Amino acid sequence: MTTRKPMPAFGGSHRPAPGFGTTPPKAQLIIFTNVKDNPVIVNLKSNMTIGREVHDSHPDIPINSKIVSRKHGSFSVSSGGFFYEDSDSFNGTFVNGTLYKHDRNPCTSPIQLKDGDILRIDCADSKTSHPEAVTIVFSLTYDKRSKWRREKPKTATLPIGISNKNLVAFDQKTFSVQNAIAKINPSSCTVAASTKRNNVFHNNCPTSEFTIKNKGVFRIDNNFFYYESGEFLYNVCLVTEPGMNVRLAETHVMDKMHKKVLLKDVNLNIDKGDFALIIGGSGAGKSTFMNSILGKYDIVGKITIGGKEASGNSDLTSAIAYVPQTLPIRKEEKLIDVVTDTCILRCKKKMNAKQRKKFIMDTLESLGLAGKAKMEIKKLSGGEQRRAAIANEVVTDSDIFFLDEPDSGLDPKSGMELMTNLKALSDNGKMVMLISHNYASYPNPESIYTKIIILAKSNRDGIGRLAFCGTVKEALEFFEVESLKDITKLINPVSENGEGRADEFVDKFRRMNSYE
Amino acid sequence: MNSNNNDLALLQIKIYTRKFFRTQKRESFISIIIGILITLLVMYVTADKMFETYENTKSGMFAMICVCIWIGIFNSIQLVCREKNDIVKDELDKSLRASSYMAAHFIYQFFLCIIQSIVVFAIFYLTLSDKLEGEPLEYLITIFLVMYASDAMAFVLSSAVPTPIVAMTLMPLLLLIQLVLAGVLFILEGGAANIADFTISKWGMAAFGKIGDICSLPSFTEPDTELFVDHAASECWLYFILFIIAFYFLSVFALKITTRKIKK
Repeated sequence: MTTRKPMPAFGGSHRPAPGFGTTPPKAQLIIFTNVKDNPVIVNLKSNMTIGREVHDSHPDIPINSKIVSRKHGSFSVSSGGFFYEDSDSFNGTFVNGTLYKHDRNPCTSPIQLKDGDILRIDCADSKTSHPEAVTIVFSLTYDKRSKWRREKPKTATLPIGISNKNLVAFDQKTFSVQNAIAKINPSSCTVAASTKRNNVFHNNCPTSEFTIKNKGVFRIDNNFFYYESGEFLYNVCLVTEPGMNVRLAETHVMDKMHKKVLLKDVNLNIDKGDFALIIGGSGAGKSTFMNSILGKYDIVGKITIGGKEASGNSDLTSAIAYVPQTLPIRKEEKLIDVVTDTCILRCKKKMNAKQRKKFIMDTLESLGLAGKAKMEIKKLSGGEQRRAAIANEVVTDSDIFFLDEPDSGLDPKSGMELMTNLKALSDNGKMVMLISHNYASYPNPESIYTKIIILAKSNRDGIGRLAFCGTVKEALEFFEVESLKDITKLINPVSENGEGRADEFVDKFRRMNSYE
Repeated sequence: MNSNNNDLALLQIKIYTRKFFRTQKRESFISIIIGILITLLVMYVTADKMFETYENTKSGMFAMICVCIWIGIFNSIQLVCREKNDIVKDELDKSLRASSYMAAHFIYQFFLCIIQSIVVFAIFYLTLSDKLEGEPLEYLITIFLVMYASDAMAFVLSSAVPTPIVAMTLMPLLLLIQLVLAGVLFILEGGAANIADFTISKWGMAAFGKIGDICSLPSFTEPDTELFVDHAASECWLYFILFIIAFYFLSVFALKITTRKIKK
């Protein structure tokens, strides 16, 4: 068990924690309330309060538990790092097992948090855990793509490791064949480390053997194990192949013997399984950005796909399924003939004729085109023709999809259906990137897109630049707006009914990015 | 690796040939009908006096050569440029080879030209009936090769220009070169005579003249001797085959060049 000295109060002369530089990195709180529900992940911002939400109390992080006070505590951030302070709550807060409570061990100054720290709100005087106890993990390294799984062992022991023999098995190379064994008791769990290679952390300290109460958490590597009543809830960090890494210093064309720069300073990563939306005003470089990756423009910089350099590698770029604005299909052909030809020529999967036919019909079915298979493309409606062009790329079984305004000319309902179809692709591990101007007409963009890329045309030199890349929620916070459509208004030039603040946000994002 | 690349190239040729058979049926039918009409028209005007005098036969043969050239050019002049920007450029980016794409076009046009040349020859043969001098099969081969070489020549233009409008604007120029530089309407000397060696019309006339033994007809004039006497029909056919091969590579090159990068 570890204890720590309270850190000096804000504004004091404390030294920044090592590695924090001038601005703290992104941090998350992983809040466990019960084993049946996945934990709530909260991005920690400066000065957030935590407590129970009632009619007269609205904390930033509401927790629905009787033993949590209305104003239980607060998180704060400074150049020195992240801090927690108990707000004289009734039950106090355990930080890595040490109780901070107003009448017992008062929290005289904020406690500096470090990666993996465990905060717990529980009844201090009870030997067993309170049914509504809450456990919170402070993490600087939590992978948001983690999947949460449950395991209720039928025997009294739970081996954890890399091997298939283990009930809780991981593919991560950091794990040992058998990393730990958890022995289950009626109201607690004893965990013993099996190897020195990979420490087991209890209250953020490497410990060889320890017992946790119900609703307790221990950690191996970056995996958290929450225990409650004989059942474990744990996260699996996805072992993903490298996605797409773009370090684009410049994209240019030669116009009348003069170099014309179209896009500058676009640095971002897109992972497999990402559904990335590119937005921006006219001339911001959205299509240019896609075409730069596809190798259609001369670039200065480096683009890698799956760890391999894409620039000049036509084998790599030609494998990208790309649907441009103008539909690249012969409209006098029947839909089934078009997709069959494409499947035969470009599909990665090896299939016999029967398997191919099934694969094609399944693809058409998923895009609502099965009934139109034998129709000529020119006889399909505009929306169906767009879906036909997408189906023509889906049958290639490519891992990467680029779509340039696939919802152009579609009504909101058809557009939303299309987004759902594309979302299904990304859910299957494909990387999907699309340009859209109709994004504002779809509800819940945060549930559709995993990433949003905002390009803006600079007022200074007319060159497109990256103004933001992150989740929808982060974008709304970054631009301090309520909805995505407000963002384009902010960055569009005044001549296009915008506020002309593109450079402000480009600079702000570059500063933020350069830190990271 | 090379064998894989060759397999892919052959597969692309097979798939695209099949595609063109599916998609070009209607316009090929129109092209055959138009070919029939213009051949009938030309034969209606020239058949009566062919193989009677040297001048009339030469004019009739030249009109037939022009019909074959026109049909060949009309077959292919728009085929590449009309889908180049929206479809072919995209397909070339996605692993289609320009050589496979053009080969598929050439294969389809080979069959179309066979049908057209049989139809044109049938009209030519039936109209002239017993007046026709020379081996009928040799006429058929010449008609086919002139038509197919013209078809291949138009592919070069179609691959090089951006739109069908530009192609149709330049088409009369292509025809005019064939008419003027054949050495039939005018006696060519110097540089023009050298350029004439690269025209389909000159070798078409040379082959027709040799097959029909045009020099033996009354009122034969000495200056045309070189054209109609010095070259055997088989030699002319060889030139057509060389033209077709050269036009294939030129059209592949033109397509690659014009679809290489996005132009702004």
